[in-house]
Amino acid sequence: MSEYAIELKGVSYTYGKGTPFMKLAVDHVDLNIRRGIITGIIGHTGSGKSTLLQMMNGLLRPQEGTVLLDGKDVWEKPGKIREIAFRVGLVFQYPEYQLFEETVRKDVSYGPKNMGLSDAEIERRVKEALAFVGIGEELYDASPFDLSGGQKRRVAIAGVIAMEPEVLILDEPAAGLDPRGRAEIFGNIVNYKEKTGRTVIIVSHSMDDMARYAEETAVLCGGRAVMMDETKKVFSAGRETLEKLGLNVPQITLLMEKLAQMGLPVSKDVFTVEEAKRELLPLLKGGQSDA
Amino acid sequence: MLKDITLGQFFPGNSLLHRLDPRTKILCSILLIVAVFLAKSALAYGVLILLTAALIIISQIPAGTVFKALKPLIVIIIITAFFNMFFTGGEEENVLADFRIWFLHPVIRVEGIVSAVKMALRIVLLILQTSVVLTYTTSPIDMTDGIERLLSPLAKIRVPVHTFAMMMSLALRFIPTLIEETDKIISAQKSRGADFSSGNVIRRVKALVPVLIPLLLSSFRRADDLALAMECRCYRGGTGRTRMKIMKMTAKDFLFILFCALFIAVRFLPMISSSALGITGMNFSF
Repeated sequence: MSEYAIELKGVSYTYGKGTPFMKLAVDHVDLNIRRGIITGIIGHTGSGKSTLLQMMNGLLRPQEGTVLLDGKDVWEKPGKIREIAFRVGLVFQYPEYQLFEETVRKDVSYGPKNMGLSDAEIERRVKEALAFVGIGEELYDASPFDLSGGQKRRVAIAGVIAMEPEVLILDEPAAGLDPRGRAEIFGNIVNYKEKTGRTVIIVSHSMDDMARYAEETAVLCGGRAVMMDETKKVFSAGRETLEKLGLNVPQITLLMEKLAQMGLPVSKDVFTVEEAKRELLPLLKGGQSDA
Repeated sequence: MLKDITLGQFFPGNSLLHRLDPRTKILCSILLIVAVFLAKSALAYGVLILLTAALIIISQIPAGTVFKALKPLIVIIIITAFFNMFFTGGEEENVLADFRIWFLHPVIRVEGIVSAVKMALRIVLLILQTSVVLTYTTSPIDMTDGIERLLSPLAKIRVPVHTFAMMMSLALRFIPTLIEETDKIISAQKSRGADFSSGNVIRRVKALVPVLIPLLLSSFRRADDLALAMECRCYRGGTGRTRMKIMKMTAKDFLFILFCALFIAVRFLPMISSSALGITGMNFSF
């Protein structure tokens, strides 16, 4: 077993080669996704995130370079590329728009059915997957189109989890949801990773989410991987560097910077609300006793 | 991938042909079609071939791309040529080959071959000219605008020209969106193990259901949103509507129309005498 779940080696992809619409989407990217943790991939629109993901699960074949899954080239046997999709589950952006079955149960079992599993196994996986995303049994026979936006999203994610992929990739899993919906989805994902120990990749352009949930973070810019490290180290690169890459520092970091400027003895390397709480609460208590 | 399908054939560029008014280009295509149909003599065809070559050069579109426009019509061209070869009447002395297959008795005469070549050439010229003058160099949106303006006199006799033009441009506008959406849904279902390329016809059609249902739903959703957005901006049809981009015919437009109209004169180009070909009694008319 290789140390990394997925390794990209010098991977490139260009859309519309040889036409006036030619566009280099991914440019010689090297990336190693560590096993069993949540890795974040961050980059603003057009940085090549989606193309990169589709190469990870065999939907797109890299025009240069290789993609290794568990140390093996995924394109070794092009005829069996479908199996790669089962091993690397990809949840697209706004996955609720892919729901099509009459009931939640049927929709979630679409993936496992395509894998050719037995009915009992499908049933077990559907139940497990729906439990992970917090959809109760009372909704199993409801039409997915009658659910709320957040529920639809979670059913769609369950549809991929039910295939029990070694690596789960989610492209902007919380896009368009309200704060509570976001927290729920990310909570589900963290819980899924803890319980199964499987590898998870989250793609987002929200630095706040990355800071909170990703253990390692890769930064994409203009089709190139410009940084790949522990999330904390990436964020410590400093505001100017990050902003040059089109990324915003988390809002809580901005707040802490302001406080430091105003003369409070706080660290500037704070990236989540939790950490800020730990920094600020003692100060607040200290302040009270002074008064 | 669906992404590789080019819609229409618009090939962005900045040549003279790209910059002409779409109305000019529509009119000129018609003029050139007429010219091709009027051509009779070999000399006339020669002139038109030269013209077509010149247009291709002016358009700055790679010749290979232009000739791709012929691909879908190759079968039609071959069939047309084939029938013309056998079913053109002519003099007995011009028979070149005479087949007897069962009770059929096809005969190839010189006239037949001449007519076949002419027909094939005619279709090829038609396609090449209209693609270069119109479809390759005019964006679909410009084209609908041009058609709307050209047909606008019909509005006086209550033909809903504006409505049709609006429908056309909306449809054109949403084709790339729809293709993109289809692409996305196909990728998504493929990620869930959908298999579109194996099994018999029934299995393949069934495999499309997970693509078609979400696509249909999103089209309806999109149409609803669009209607609402248009209403919010007080869209009430064509009456009294002004344009952001006003089309203007300039001197080069009129000159180009004149230039194309000139080629109708190919009708009067003399035939190269049939004696030059060493064949007597040849008849070039159709």
